[in-house]
This record gives sequence, structure tokens and C-alpha cells, in this order.
Amino acid sequence: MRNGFRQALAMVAVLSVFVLAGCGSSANQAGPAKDAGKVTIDVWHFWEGHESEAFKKVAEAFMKANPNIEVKVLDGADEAKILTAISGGTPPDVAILPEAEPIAQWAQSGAIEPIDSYLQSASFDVKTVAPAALALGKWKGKQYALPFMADAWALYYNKDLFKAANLDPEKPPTTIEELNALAAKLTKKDGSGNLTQAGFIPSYTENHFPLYIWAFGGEIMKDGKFQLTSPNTVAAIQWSADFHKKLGVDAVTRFKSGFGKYDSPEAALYTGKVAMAVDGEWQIRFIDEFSPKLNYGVVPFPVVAREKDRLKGLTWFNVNSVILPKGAKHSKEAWAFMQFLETPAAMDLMTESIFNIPTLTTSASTNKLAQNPNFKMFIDLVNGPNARAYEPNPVAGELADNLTAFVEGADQGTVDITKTLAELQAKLQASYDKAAK
Amino acid sequence: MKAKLLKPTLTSLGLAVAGLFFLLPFLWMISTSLKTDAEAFSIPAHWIPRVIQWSNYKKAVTTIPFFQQTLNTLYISVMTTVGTVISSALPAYGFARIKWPGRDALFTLVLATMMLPFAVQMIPMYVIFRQLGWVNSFKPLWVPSFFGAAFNIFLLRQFFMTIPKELSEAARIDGLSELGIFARIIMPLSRPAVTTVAVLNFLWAWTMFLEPLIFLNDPKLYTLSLGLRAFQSAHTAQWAVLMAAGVIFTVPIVLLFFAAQRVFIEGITLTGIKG
Amino acid sequence: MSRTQRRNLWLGLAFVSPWIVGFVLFLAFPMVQSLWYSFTDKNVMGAGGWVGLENYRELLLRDKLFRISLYNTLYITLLGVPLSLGLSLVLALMLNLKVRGISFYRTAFYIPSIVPAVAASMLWMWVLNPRYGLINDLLWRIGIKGPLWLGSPPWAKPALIIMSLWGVGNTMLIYLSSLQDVPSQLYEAAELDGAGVWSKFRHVTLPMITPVTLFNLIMGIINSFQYFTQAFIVSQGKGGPANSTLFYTLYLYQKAFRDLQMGYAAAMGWILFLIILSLTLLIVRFSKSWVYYEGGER
Repeated sequence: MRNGFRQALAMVAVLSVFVLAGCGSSANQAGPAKDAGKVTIDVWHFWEGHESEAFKKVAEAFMKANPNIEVKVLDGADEAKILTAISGGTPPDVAILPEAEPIAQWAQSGAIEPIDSYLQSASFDVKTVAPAALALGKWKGKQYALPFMADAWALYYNKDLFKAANLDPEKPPTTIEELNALAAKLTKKDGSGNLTQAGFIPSYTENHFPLYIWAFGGEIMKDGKFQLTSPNTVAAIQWSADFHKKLGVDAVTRFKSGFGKYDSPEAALYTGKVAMAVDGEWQIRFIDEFSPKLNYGVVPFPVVAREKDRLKGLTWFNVNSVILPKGAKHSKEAWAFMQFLETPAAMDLMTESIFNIPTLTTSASTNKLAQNPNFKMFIDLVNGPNARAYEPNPVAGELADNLTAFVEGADQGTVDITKTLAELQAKLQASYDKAAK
Repeated sequence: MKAKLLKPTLTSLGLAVAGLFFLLPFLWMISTSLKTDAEAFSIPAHWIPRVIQWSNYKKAVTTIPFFQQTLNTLYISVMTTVGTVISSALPAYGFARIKWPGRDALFTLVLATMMLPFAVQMIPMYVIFRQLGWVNSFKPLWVPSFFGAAFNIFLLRQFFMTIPKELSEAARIDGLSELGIFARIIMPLSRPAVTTVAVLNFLWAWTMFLEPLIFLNDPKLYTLSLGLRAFQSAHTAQWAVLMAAGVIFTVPIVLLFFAAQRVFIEGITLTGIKG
Repeated sequence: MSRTQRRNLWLGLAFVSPWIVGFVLFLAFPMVQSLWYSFTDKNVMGAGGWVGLENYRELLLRDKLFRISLYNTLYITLLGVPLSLGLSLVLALMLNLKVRGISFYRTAFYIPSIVPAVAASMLWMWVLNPRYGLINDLLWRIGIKGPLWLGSPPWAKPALIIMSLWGVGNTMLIYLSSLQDVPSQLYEAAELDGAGVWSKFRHVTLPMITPVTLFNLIMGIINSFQYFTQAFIVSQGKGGPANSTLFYTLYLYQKAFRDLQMGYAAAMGWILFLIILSLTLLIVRFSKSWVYYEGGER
């Protein structure tokens, strides 16, 4: 009946009024600065909590030095959010990613702008940026990202456990062969075959297989060609799998599951459950906080004896990447901010707060954290000739996730290592060739 | 005599066991929220904190702009609930109480909109909201709910279909319009269902995470579920304070739920055919 | 069309109009665009061209991870949905009784559904800790060596299913509302006929709640096939250990936002769409034989 129809229409009309009324009460839009002549830039990053607070101070320092630029910082922006904003047409002016792996893919897809022209007239000395770190932001000959602080991995070891096993606490392993031998001496089991102390576990806290591959003289990729089936690479994976097999796959899993929380005084490294472990630079601060009495040392991860000289000072590192999104409205001011991050003022301010490795060649002399000899070692490693990371490539994410899953299976003893590596090699090379066109 | 006592005793026992299963992790959350971080995950686990850390709760509300974020979350939750109830009930009525050509095909389309993963719709939706000028506001989060939500339409349709035909037919004979039947007969009889929809929606909006993450670009607009991330860092978190924040996040809803029970579950006296 | 049919058509459309407007405004474009994308190799920025059925061929014939993710998703759907439906019905039945403190129990059962995902996942990782978590601790006390749960590929999915059972509050609530709606006269009439507890359940309760059972079943399937959040948090977006928790929408998400292959991800989305749609239509077709609507206009 028409009456009913009209009434239904009336309902929709009422609804629309509701909606329009509600439209008026939305929160303030983030708009341009009210001050004339002041440019506002949006800087998005991924940090949270106190790390986010530290970055705010960097932004404040920048604004003090650049009174005509207002910086609006947004925290907790993950990669999906940043991509959606870029693709959707409302990108931030600067974005900071937690890693270097996405850069090649984002560059290839046209999501970020190259910064070579800006670098040519940079106000900072580009040579002061740690070369290995800077190289991670390059793709197809163009620079797309600046590094801002790094994480790096090395070998921590418990000197007291060494002493207890009649080993010289000042002679940590420098070769894989020594690592194997020492680990055997530092491993203890109880009567029922359960582990009570592990000399070393390749998969604690997670399997650091890139580090192991490079330590064996192997490669993951070289100049766009995957090297997963090369003998040294296979040897590294096999070594990790064999290590678990020797300790007992189930025994290891049970042992690991009894570890206390990583960020607490009950962590395995602090309670003598593992004698040697691969961990990052942040562990120095963790030990200070959770287990200050721990008698420990930290050295670069050992390498195979025959490569001892070539691979001296090996470390696996990653950097935060500072990028210029496509479509950023204020690229000049954005670049001013990016440059600022590459100065000791910003770098030291942030790293001293959140305990990351500064990525400037001058950091060892300007950064307060360098006064700690262990931390200085990390700075030197990142600036050294053997600071290794995934070679920039547009399938880095897929590569890392596929290899991680594969290594998890290899450590469990449930996959054919050589065969699966060959399959992965073929699959990833095909992905790469398609993506890098 | 014994048989009569057995049923309530078994039921109470069953309820207690189930209650424990469901409450245990929440009690653990409260217990953790009153510990220090060092105690929080100690081995072996224990329930009573050595020293009760009420300060965790203070830290929870002062570390993040708690009040602001609660208001934001409340605004979005209320708006979506208000919008969705009416805008979903009307279509549900159309699908349940009237027979018309093409009805079932259209209903299938309604259901189908729930079958495509959000991840592939995220960016085109963002583009729509950008063109409407709604990005970085609350609008993408609540305005769509004023246009019916498939979940609620489906649920209410099922409920509406349990109300006897005779009631509608009698009313039609009495000269009541369809809208009148909807408003004066079907809706009053569906109070439990409608309240269920309202409560479920409020709770879903309260805990929404992905949509606020994608569509909000100003920390001042952040909701509580986004704010909770502030207690986490790269390799660690303030676990105890995070749990305290989690408890505070949950408590208002628990109270709301408790209160709503009286409305929609108990004491509904129905007259007429539905006894 | 007859006059009545035309009138009903207008009425029906009028009532549904809010949804239709919303669909046109917000849902149609994303659905259509993603369908189009599925036939292209477009990346996240929209660059790329037509590839026809290539994405679908790659997915269905060659992509190993696609098969693994589909298997993982089917696993938790076939196990999780019946378990959750059964559990929520049992709970709803218990909560429908006039027992003392019933409001308290109802709230208790619902609480887990509203605990924020990040806190809940943290909690569960501790509860399911193979050595000292609550569950294995209890098992230990009765002499059973508990499994390694989230740390072991064969047990990770069962662990996630247990975690998800904790969130049956929504389904339980819906069942409860439906149970409350069952007219008491029916029970009285059945009792007069000499029906016992089980008989009343089988012949009064169950049939009367079938409309809502159908709802819970279909929504359970739709949601289970798109299971994402908890697994994402617990595996840190990686789907480990060893791809055991790589669920369909997680793999899709990786393809879209890690590999930026929006076209490929869209094809995955539409394959999932077809799977869920077919299952739903199948269930609806069969539903005519077991769902009882007292008043629906059929």
C-alpha cells in the first residue's frame, strides 16, 4: 500500500537526518597549521610506548631548529596502514619502517620516491652514514631510504658457566668448530634424558639462519640470483638441524618451553639454562636491568675456520628505514626532517633513549652508549666490512617468511633439506624475476 | 526425593566447572595486573601477588590519554549501536515478514557481503572514504552502520521468522500498515533479539581494532584498543600494566552486560499468542 | 506480476532500502574493484594489467602455500565450528535455568569475548605454556605429560581451537535469546503428554531454536573461514611454527601487504568467497528439511 511505502520512506528520511546530524559532531580534522607561513608535515612511525615518547623529543628538537616547520607525529603506524594511506591518496610526508626488507618491493611498486636528487644537495655529509646501512635502502641503482638506527646480532656467553666447566672464560669460540666443541662441553642432561643446561641452541630465541648461512661462507642471494642450493648454505642449515638432532628435538622443545620469560630475571640466559646464545644489542640493557650480576661476554658470532679472516667481525643487522612516500605533499620539508635524522643530534638522542645502534660512522665518538665497550663493539660491527643483511630485493618478505618456516621444519627433522631448498630456490627465483622486471 | 535434588546439584556443578574454565584466564589477568613485571610471569606461577601493585592501575590510566580514548571509543560504540538497530531491523522485517519477488536472491547478496575478506576491500574502501572527506575522522567507523549490517539483518530475520504469521495477518485485516505492524507488533515482541543485537554490536564496536587503525591518522582520535598497544615495545612490554589496562578496558562492558541482562533476558512478560 | 506482488515488491524494497543504499555507497565498489583486480597482476599502488585467469591458475594448480593455508583453515572450521556450536548450546541451556546466581554465570561466560585480543593472546600463550601453563600444570598433576601446544606444529591448531572456544559468548548469547523465546505453553503441553526432560529437549527446544541454529552455523562458517586475528598475534604474522598456523586470510594478508600483490590477493579473496557461498547455499538448501519457522513468509 502506498501508505506503507511512504512510511518506509519516512523512516529512511529520519535516518538520513540522524546521519547528517551526526556528521557535524566528528572530531577535529587534522588540518594545515593555522600559523601563516608554517608548513605542517605528517611523520608516521611504528614505535609505541616509551620509544614513541623518545621520538617525540627528536621531533621537538627538529622543530626548535626549524621554526617554520610543524611536525605532527603519529605512532603505531604499521606497514599495512602506511601502504593503505599511500595507495588511498593520503600519504604521510615521512614514514619510518621497522626494517629494510620492504624497500625494494615498495620502490618497485611505485609507493616511495627516490631521494638521489635530494642527497646530492644534502646538508649532512652522506659519507657519515654507515655504508652497509645506506646500501640497504638502494634498489636498481637508486637510493630510496635512509637508515635510522640498527639492530645487530652477536654471541653472548656466560663466563661463570665456562669456569664451572673448566673452560677459559676469556676464550669464547671464534670458529664454528670451536662453538661445536664448547657447546658439547657445556651441555648437561639429567638422569631421564632431559636437558638441564644447553651449551648452545641454534633456535633460541628463534633460528638466526641468515647469520649461520653467512658464518658458513654461504650466501642467500648474490646480484639477484638465489644461492640457496650452494654447498655452504646447505651446510649451514644442515648444521642447525644436526645440532637439534644431537640434543634431541623433543628434548630441546621441552627445555625451551620451560624457559622463563625473555624480558624477566628468569630468562634462560640469566638462569644458566643456556651457556651461549645469539642475541641483539638490546640484551646489554636487559642484562643491566634483569640480571646485573651476570658475568657475561659478547663477541661476534663465530665463523667457519677456513673463512676466519675473510669473515672477521661478522654480524647480521637490520635498520629502520626512513622513506618519502609517493604523493607526499611537502617533500621539501619532509626531506629537511629526513636529513635531521642523519645528524648526531637526532641519532644520539634517540639511540641513547631506546638503546638501538646509531648508524653514523662518527657515532663511536659522539654517542654516550659507546662508552660501554660491549655496545661499542656493536657500533663497530655495523660499520665494519662484514655487516650483513638480506640483499635488497623485491621478494624479501616472502623470502624471509618462507625460509623461516622451512628452517623450523628442518630443525624438527621433518623435511628433506636439500630437496626443499631446491624447491624454494626455484619458487623464489621465479617470484623475484617476476617482481623485479 | 534424591532424584529431585540431583538435577539442580548437577547443574550447579556443571555451571561451576564451566564458569571456572571461562573465568580462569580473566582471573589470571586480574592477578597479573596486581603484580610487578618481574613477578608477572614467574615460574612456578602463583596467583596472589606478593605485594599488591595498585599503582599499575594508576600507570595504566596515566601512560596513555585514557580518558580521551575512552570517550572516543564510547562515541563510536554508541553511534554504531544506535544506527545499526533500526537500520538492520527494517531490512530484516522486509526479508522475514513479506514475500516478494527477488527477495531470497537479495538476501543471499546480503549474506555474500560478509564472505569477502576485509583485506581485499580495505584500500578501495579507504578511497571511498577519502573522496567523502571522512578519512581521519570517526565517520568511517559508524556511518556505515546506519545502513544496516548484514550480521544483524540476518540475526533479526531469523528471530522475526519465529513470530506466528497469524499476528501479522490479523493486524493487516485490522488495517495496520506494514510499518505499523513492524513498529507495534513485531518489534515489541522481539525485545530479547533486538537487545541481543544492540549488546553484541556495542561490544564489537568497543573492541574494534583494524578499522580504527586504518582510518584514523590522529592520535587524538585513537580508540582504547589502539591505545593498549602503547604498553608494548620492541622486545618487551609492561605486562602487568598492560593487564591492568586490559581489566579497565573490560570492566565497563562487564557492568553494561550485567545491567542489560535484566532488560533482555529476565522478566519479559508477553501477552498474546507467544506465551 | 499481480497487483499484490507489485505492492509487496515495493514494500519489501522499501524496508530493505537502508541496506541497499549502504551497499551502493560503501560495499559495491570495493567488491567490484577487487573482483576486477583478481584478473590482473595489479600491485598495491594500482599498477599492473590484465592477466585473465592466471592468478586463479597459479593458486589452484601451483601455489603450495595456498593449499597449506586452505588445509589449515578447513581444519579449524571442521573441528572448531561444531565444537563451538555444541559448547555454546550446552552453556545456553544451562544458563536458561533458574539457578541462583545465574546473572553472574552469564556474565562470566561472556567476559572472554570482550577481553582485548592482545591481552587475551598473551594470557593464552601463558596458559598454554607447555611446562608451567595452567592446562599442562593440571594435566601434570593427574600424571599426563601435556603436549607442546603453540610451540609444536601438530599441536598449534588444537591450541588455537581451545583459545577460540573461550570466545563462544556471542553464540551462546544468541542461543540464549532464542531459548527464552520458546513459548512455555509448548513445554506445558509436552509435560501434559508425559514428556520427560530429554523428550522435551528433542521435541520442543531443538526444533524451536533451529532458526538460530542455522544462523550460528552459517555465521560460524563465515567467520571460521576468515579466522585471522588471534593467529596473527600469536604467530606474529608469520603463521608458524612451520606454517602450521598459516591460515587462509593470513596468507592473503601476506600476499597483499607483504608482497604487495593485490591482484593475486584479490583472486584469493574471491576463491574464498566462492567456497563460503557454495557451502552456505548448500546448507540453506538442506535447511528446509530441519529448520522450523513458525511465522516466516515462505
